[in-house]
Amino acid sequence: MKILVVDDSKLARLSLIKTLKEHEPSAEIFEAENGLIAVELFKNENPRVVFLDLTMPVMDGYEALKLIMSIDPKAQVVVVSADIQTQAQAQVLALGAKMMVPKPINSDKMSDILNRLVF
Amino acid sequence: MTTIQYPNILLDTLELGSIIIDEDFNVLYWNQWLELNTGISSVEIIGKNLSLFYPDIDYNVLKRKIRTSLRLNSPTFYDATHHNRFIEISRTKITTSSLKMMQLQITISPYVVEESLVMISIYDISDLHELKLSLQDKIKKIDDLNRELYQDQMIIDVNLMIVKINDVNEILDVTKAFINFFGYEETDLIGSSLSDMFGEDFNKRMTREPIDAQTKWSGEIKVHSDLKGAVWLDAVVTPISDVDGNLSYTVIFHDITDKKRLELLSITDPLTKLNNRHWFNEMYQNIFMRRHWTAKNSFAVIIADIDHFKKINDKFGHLIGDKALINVAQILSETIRNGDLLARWGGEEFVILLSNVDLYQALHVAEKLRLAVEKLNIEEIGKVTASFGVAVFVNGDNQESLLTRADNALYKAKEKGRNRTESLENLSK
Amino acid sequence: MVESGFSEDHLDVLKELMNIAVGNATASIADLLQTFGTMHIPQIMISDMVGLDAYIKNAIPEEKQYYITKQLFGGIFSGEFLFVICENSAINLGRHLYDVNQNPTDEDIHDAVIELTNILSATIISRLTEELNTKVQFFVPSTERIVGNSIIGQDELLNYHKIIIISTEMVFEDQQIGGKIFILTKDEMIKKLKALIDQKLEELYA
Repeated sequence: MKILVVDDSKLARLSLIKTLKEHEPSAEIFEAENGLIAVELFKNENPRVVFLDLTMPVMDGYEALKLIMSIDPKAQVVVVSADIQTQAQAQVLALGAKMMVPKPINSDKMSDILNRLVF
Repeated sequence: MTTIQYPNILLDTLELGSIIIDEDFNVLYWNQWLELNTGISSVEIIGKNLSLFYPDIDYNVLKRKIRTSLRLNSPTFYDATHHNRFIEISRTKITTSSLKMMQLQITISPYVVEESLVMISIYDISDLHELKLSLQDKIKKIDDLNRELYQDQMIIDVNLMIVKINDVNEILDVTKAFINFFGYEETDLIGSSLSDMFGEDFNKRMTREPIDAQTKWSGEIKVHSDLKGAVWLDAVVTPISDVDGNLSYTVIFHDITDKKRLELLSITDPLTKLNNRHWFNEMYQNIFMRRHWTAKNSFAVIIADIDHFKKINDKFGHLIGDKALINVAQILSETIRNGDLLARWGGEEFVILLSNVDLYQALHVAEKLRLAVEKLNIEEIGKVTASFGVAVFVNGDNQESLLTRADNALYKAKEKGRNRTESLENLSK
Repeated sequence: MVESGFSEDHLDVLKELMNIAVGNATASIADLLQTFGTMHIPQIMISDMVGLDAYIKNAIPEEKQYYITKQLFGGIFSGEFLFVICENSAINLGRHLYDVNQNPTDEDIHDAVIELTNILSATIISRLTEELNTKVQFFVPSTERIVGNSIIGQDELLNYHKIIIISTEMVFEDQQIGGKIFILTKDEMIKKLKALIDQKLEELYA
């Protein structure tokens, strides 16, 4: 199963992937450090799940989310952000994100997220 | 780890008030410090609500602070010196009375979060606060003084011309008044030399001498200003030694041009612009008092009188006559030696004081003057001549006797046919 | 960067942890003060005293009056937490917290500013240190009102310190309250912070 992890912070990606592997050791994981690379990877690899940060250089998460949803309206995007304002949450959900979770993601949260996704 | 067996004793030794209280302000613990300072015993208050004892506290705010501490699981701090923030404790310091109430610093720490219990620690920061108040008071006084000083400085700056120079005559600082007076830019002046502005002579007289002597000096100088032309300044140079022993000098200038102008007016003959008799008398008096004169090294007086001046006036009128006076005055002033003193004596008479001369030299000067007058060609009048009487100081002369001799010599020259130089003394002597 | 031993990785970690900490602070404020605010993405830079002075002066317009609260925090990671709020914001904050319509007293304002600082420092620093697996102790904060942006004593500029500046901005749009947060740590403390981050990285790579 292919999973795409998008965050400009290497640490954030590392930490997310670490927790992810605990639950899905067999997952094939792709990393992107901005929205542009993420959209390219999404096109080429068609991952089952995308973990997407919002604030990133080059292309931010909102933009990337829009493009990903236009490529595949059934895409499962989980927005992971430190910005947990209700306003931001409403916006990403309106754009088609499956859910929005605050950083950082610990093991319990990860299992909860994975349970709510379709594989 | 050791368990502290007697936490009460521990809390009492800390010199602070400790309360354990729940979110609804029910008191669970009240230490000895509080008992002593509030007069409320723990037996009285424990198990009761704080608001029964302290109804004035703003409990909404206190509740929020307690909640914050519990939710964040972190202490919150605040200053309870303000009214109704927390319990008030009166203070009994006798020697200073600026604070009637204890200034309290409050820390609300989570105690048992699950039971919504916090510990409130109360620190008496009155001494600190007192110190702060007295410091603020002192700072305010200093500020006031500085403000006054600043105002004084401003008044000095715009009204007094002051230049600060170092011991090599470089300008360190100037006041606005000085800059404005001369029309310079401050940046042009700082670092440049005062002698650049006022010339080397100024430098020598005004600053070099006092700087070398490291003493105060004052005097009058005439300098040129691009803005005002020639100006007279009174200057006082004062050496100032800083803490490291470096010398600098303040030069305070005072514009005395007007005063000088008046002074000049009082000693100037308005028609010929020569110095007048009043001035001459002063100079004449000075020279008598100044030195011990000898036959070899003496001084002389020449009195000159334009020949037939009355006829000139009658023939050409007073205006033309005045012109003759002006012309003669001018040629005399051009011809005398540097350092000789010339004045209009009155009417068509001029007087000249020659220092450091003998009879021979005095006669020579007089003759030179006579020839110069003779050579004149005055518009509308043509040629004029003058007669000269010369007298040299000899021992025993007083001011009057010398002048009388010069006058008599002039009379002799007139007698002998005018346009000539005479002396009563004999050259061969 | 080489001098302080701080690499891009270290900065990245710090930045990410700060994102989390700041997000946490916003949530706590919403809960405790019934205010919904936004916080800017923290900026992190390494500088010296002169750089810090320039940075603060650039971030804070000099023509206003400010309440400045300084709070020290201690532990393996220690430093100074600064909260700067302009007079208007502070008055609005006093009004909000003390539920008064008229102008709050100077005492109310002071108290409100300290209260907000308590929450900000407790949430941001606690969260940051928690993520770094260490403990923190807070000291009594002090607030003063100043005119202009001279937060650093001019004499201090002569002291050379390597400083990490973490800064962010907090805005409650509805109440028209805004303030700037600076977290400063210097010299030896930077080394300790770096060690903590190294541990964190090791843990992740393990």
